[in-house]
Amino acid sequence: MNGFLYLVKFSYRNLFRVPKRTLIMILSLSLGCGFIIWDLNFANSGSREIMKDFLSQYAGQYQITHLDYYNPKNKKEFNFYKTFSDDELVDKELIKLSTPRVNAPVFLSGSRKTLGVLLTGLMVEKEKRLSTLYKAITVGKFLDPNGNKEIILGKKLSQRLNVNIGDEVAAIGQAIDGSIANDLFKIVGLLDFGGGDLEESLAFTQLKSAQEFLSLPPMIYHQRVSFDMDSEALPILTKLGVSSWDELLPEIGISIKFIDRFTWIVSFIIVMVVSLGLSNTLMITFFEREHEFTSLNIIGAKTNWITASLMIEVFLMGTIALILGTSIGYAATSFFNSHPINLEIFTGGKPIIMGGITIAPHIRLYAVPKYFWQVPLMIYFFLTLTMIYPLIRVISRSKNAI
Amino acid sequence: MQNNENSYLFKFAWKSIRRNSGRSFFIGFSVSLAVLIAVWVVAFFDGLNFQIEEAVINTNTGYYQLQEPNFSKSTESSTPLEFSKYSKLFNAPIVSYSPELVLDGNISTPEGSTGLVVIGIHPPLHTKFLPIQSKIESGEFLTAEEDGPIVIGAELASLFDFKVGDQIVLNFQDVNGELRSELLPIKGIYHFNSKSFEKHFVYIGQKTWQRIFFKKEMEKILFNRIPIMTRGLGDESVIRNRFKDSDVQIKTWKNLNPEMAVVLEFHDGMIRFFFVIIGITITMTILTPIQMMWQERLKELKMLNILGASNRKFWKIGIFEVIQMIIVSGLFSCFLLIIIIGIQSYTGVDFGFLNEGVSIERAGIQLPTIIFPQLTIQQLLITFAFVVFVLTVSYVWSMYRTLKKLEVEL
Amino acid sequence: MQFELSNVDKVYTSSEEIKVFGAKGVSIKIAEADFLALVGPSGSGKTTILNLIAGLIIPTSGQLKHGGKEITSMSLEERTQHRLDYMGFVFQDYQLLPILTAEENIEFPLQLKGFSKKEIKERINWSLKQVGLENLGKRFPNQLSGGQQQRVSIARAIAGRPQLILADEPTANLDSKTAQEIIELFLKLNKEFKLTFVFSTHDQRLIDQVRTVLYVQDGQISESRVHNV
Repeated sequence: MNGFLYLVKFSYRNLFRVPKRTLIMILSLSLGCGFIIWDLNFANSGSREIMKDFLSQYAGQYQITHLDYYNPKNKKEFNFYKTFSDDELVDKELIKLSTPRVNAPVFLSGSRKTLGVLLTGLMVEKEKRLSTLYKAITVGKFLDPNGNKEIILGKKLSQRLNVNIGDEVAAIGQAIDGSIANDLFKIVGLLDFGGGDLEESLAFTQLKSAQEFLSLPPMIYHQRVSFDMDSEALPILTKLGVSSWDELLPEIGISIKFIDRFTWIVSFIIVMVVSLGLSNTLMITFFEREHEFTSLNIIGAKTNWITASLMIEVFLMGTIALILGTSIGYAATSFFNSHPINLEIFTGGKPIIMGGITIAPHIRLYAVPKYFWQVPLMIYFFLTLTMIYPLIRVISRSKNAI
Repeated sequence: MQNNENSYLFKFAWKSIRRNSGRSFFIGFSVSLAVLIAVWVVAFFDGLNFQIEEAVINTNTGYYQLQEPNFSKSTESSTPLEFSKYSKLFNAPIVSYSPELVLDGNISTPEGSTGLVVIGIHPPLHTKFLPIQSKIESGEFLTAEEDGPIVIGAELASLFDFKVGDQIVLNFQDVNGELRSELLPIKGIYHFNSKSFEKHFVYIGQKTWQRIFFKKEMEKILFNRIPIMTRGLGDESVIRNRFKDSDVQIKTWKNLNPEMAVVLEFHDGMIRFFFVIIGITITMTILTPIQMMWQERLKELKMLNILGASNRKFWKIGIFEVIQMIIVSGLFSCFLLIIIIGIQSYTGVDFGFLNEGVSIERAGIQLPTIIFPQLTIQQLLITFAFVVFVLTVSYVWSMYRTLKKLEVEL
Repeated sequence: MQFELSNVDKVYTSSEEIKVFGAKGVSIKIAEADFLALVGPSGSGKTTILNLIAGLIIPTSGQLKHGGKEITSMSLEERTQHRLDYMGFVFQDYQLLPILTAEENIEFPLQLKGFSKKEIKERINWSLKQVGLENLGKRFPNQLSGGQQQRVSIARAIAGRPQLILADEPTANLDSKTAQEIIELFLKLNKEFKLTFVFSTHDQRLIDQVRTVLYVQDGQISESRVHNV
């Protein structure tokens, strides 16, 4: 043990041989580490925040439906006739945390045009409590919880139908019993999703109005939508279907994963680039001491001992750098937690639209614990690779010198 | 004499690089590799953006659309303009165009219903604009003379079990706002672009469109919009200038599909950021080896100074070394880039694993899984500029520090 | 214990297939408490013979023995261990580790040998005392003069109480006064502790002080003289 401690002490001392150079190496490594941790936290937080914002406006974290409501092969298709009642939902807590909706594809007619849209009936008070849909109203007002036959439309839809606040639109569709459903609805508000597709294809009314329109009894719904963004686990239900947001919107989920994976690729590249320079510097550092290694060997230090001292030296430097790097990463993440980043700097000021909805561009960063060990581990791995070649070269040259 | 001296110092600089050939190679290689990686990522995203843009413009959008004012405001179809009044303006840089009448309709069957975008086209012009004619998987495309048939997408046909020869009942509102239905025989089924496109876009001839909407044919080519293809969005100012005196509204594809426009902007923003990071990283990491290389020469520089070489001469040697390293690194990087991207721009790179092998649509656009990186002159220039920047900064800084130390020692 | 070189040749072959004799037919016996110098001009083969004795290089023919044990057939690692166990070294350019203090430089071979902390401390103190640097143990090499550095180098060499100390041009980088002090130190250690010294030198002051002088010419021992010192 004494011998090993001496070896560590000897290796540690070598870090101070050329302090400035060691400092630059440590700084390169620590800044690289800090940046990668920050970058991963940025990508992760960005994804989380964007998804939270996106999902809380309309789609929700997950949906409870009849088992056969969604086409299992293509969740963009749904069977309008498959409804369920709250009696089938045993867990009353789920009822508390979710809001019910009914959906019907209808034709809305304005003065001179008829367009197909999805009419959704909302439980207004609960919807206002759980989702942020009401914040998208920029003209008029949100639905009155006690009102009847009110409708809010996307701005683009109102333009296409050539209708405005106060106008009436006729809705024609199919009721649950197969009969033709038709009614008049009064426009009370217009939704602005930043020009995204959903502005043309969505309309909302009170839940009671929609149920009456579709001849649905009260307490019978198509969906229960949960906006519990912090819950990762989905409820397990035997009689009903549960669909998470990434099943319903796979393109969004995969776009997010693309960014996550791309960030890891960028991190890999940065570590590789840093490792190249480090390898070069280590080689020069080791070569400088060749003569000294020969002398040490003459005195009685074996090749293994010299190799071990060099390896410990590199690992000590790496450890110092990575402790510093994780601190820098944490500090940077914390800073951007209290000073959110505006994603519009990447889009030249243009609003970010995802899945047809505008996303709030300010992202608050959160530290993800796993990155604080994954990144250092990756860097240690590269550090080990980095020093293999310089070690082999210098040891073989020393042997030849002897 | 000056030329002789410069020539000698140039050779001296080359010998200095070769003297420490291992280290010089390592430095040059590090820079080349970093630059290669950075520019490859740029090429990859350029390719991805190009493919996305192509997919967007091929959703019958074009790079630009000239829209009749009412249609532009509220997709009102009842006030089309006459194409003949504008036909003379459609020369270069406009490559192709298609005057179109657009109608929102729907079909309703026992299997279900769906909304449709019914496009009334002049087939001879449309086939130059969009290659749907060559993507017909059964039946035929429209011809200019006929009135009556419809061409639908494969996804729509599959959803409703339509075949060539079947009749579909198209529901729509005519010019007077009356709800009407029209029976149209399916002449062809196309397979093109995304499933969303195939499900919603159907084509009929201008004659048919005018007849069913206006209840009469106008005997002329009309349009609500004219999507046009040019070389790209770089022609915007030319297009706007050309049509500034007309009453048409001009929209780019980015105005028409803001979600995908932002995706491209976001990619560009990310790339610029990434480039800066790589630039800083590589400069920092090669700075030390270059500095050490120069500091090792301190004794030698001292001796040369004693013999009569001034600081000016040392700077010259250093600059010549930088130039030689830039040439070697830059050429090496460009060469590798041309080979790698040249091959990959032909074979493509399968990034299906990033999308978990799933082909997905977003905002009606099929996102590519096999991406073809694009090699452009701009990238090669960026490569070179990058190499110049990194090596110049590192060498100049190292030379400055070493010569400063030399001054002190002398 | 005796170190013995028996009819040792060391041949170097250049790229043009020209053979050069670094050592030719060299036979030396080194007994305990010997104070011996290899003398000759530059390129004569003194350092080669010293390296052969140290086991740093293997002879092309002939044998190196220590106490009857064959050294030439040992592996590289075994010869390194052998040097650690039985020899000490003094270098022309001191070869102190700049990152270690004087005490720590002396400590280095003792740590490799596996002595306990207590023993290491005792030996360091003893060595420093012998070379007259008791108060300078905490200084780094760049804080010591040339002579002081060479004393530290000698202290490092003797700390392990080796059977043989090899010194390659130990006074070459020193001024005459310091060189004389170092030579006197060598003599003292040889007389008081019976430490065996083999020098490679062309310093006449040192040559005059040694008991046995071996003159080296073209890799061969051309003459041997014993002084009554």
